Amino acid sequence: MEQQERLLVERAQNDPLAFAALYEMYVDRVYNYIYQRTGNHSDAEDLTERTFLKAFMHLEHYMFRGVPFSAWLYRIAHNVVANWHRDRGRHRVVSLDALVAYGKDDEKPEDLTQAREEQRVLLDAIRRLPAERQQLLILKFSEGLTNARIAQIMGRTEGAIKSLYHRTLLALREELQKNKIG
Amino acid sequence: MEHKDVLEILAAHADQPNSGAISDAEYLQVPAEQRQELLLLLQLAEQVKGALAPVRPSPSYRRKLGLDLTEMARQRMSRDLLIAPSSPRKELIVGAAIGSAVALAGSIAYLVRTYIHTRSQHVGQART
Repeated sequence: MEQQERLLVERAQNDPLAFAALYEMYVDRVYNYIYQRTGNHSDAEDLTERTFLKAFMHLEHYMFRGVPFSAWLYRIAHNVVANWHRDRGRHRVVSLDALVAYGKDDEKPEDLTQAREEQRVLLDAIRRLPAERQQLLILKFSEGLTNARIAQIMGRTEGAIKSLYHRTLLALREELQKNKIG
Repeated sequence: MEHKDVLEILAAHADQPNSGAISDAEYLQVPAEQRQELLLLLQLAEQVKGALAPVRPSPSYRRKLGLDLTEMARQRMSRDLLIAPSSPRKELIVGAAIGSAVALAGSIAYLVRTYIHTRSQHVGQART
C-alpha cells in the first residue's frame, strides 16, 4: 500500500495529470474527515476542494522522509479545517445536516427516537473537544485507521496515541455527564 | 490514573469490529477498581463509532472536483511546455558567444604576433 502510494506520488510529481490517481484514492477519506469536523456537506465540499488544491500546488515540495503521502494530506486537511474554525471565530458548529436529520433543538424529545437524540448529544460533545482529540476519534472510528497510522499522521508515538485516546474517552464522558446535569 | 492494561485493552478494542465486547481474560487483567470504568469506556467507544459513521461525497461533486483538478493539471503542463523551448535557445546563444570570444581572442593573438614579428624584422634591418 505504502509502496504503491509512493509510486503514484512520484508519477504525479513528474506528470501533473497523474495526480488524478491520488485524488481518486483519497477523496472519500478526506471528505469524510472534513465532514466529521465541520458537520455539514456544504463546508465539507468547500474545504475538501481547498485541501486537494493545496496538495496539488505543493506536491513538488513533498518528500517521503518517513511521513506517508496520506499523512501529509490529512495534515493539510487538518490545517484547512483549523483555519476555517479560526476564520469563523470559533463559534459552535451547528450541523445543518444534523438538524435536517434529527429535527430542531426546540422540538419535543418525544418526536425524536431516543437513539437519535443520544447520538446528536454525543456528536455535539465530540465537536466540543479540542481539535486534536476530534481528529483522533475521526481517524480511529470513521476512517478505521490503526494506532500506528494515526501516530504517523499526528506526528506522535503509538504509545502517545493510546494515552491520548484514553484521555479523550474520559474527557468525552465528563462532557456528556456535564451536559446531562446542565 | 492511566493503567497500562486499560490503555492497551481500549486501544486494541478500538481496532476491532465489535469494540464494545471484552473477554473474561482481559476483564480479569485489569485491577478490580478499574473494571467498571473500563466497561463504561468501551461502551462509550462503541457509541462514538456509531455516531461517526463514514460519510461519502456526492458522485456529482466527486466527479466535478476531479475534472477541475485535471484541468488544472493540463494548464500546468501547457505552461511548462511553453517555458521548456527557451532552454535550447539559451544554450545556442551561450555557445555562439563563447565561439565569438574564442575567434576574437585568436585574431588579437594573430595581430600581436604579426606586430612583434614585423617589429623584430625592422630592428634586424636597422642593425645591418
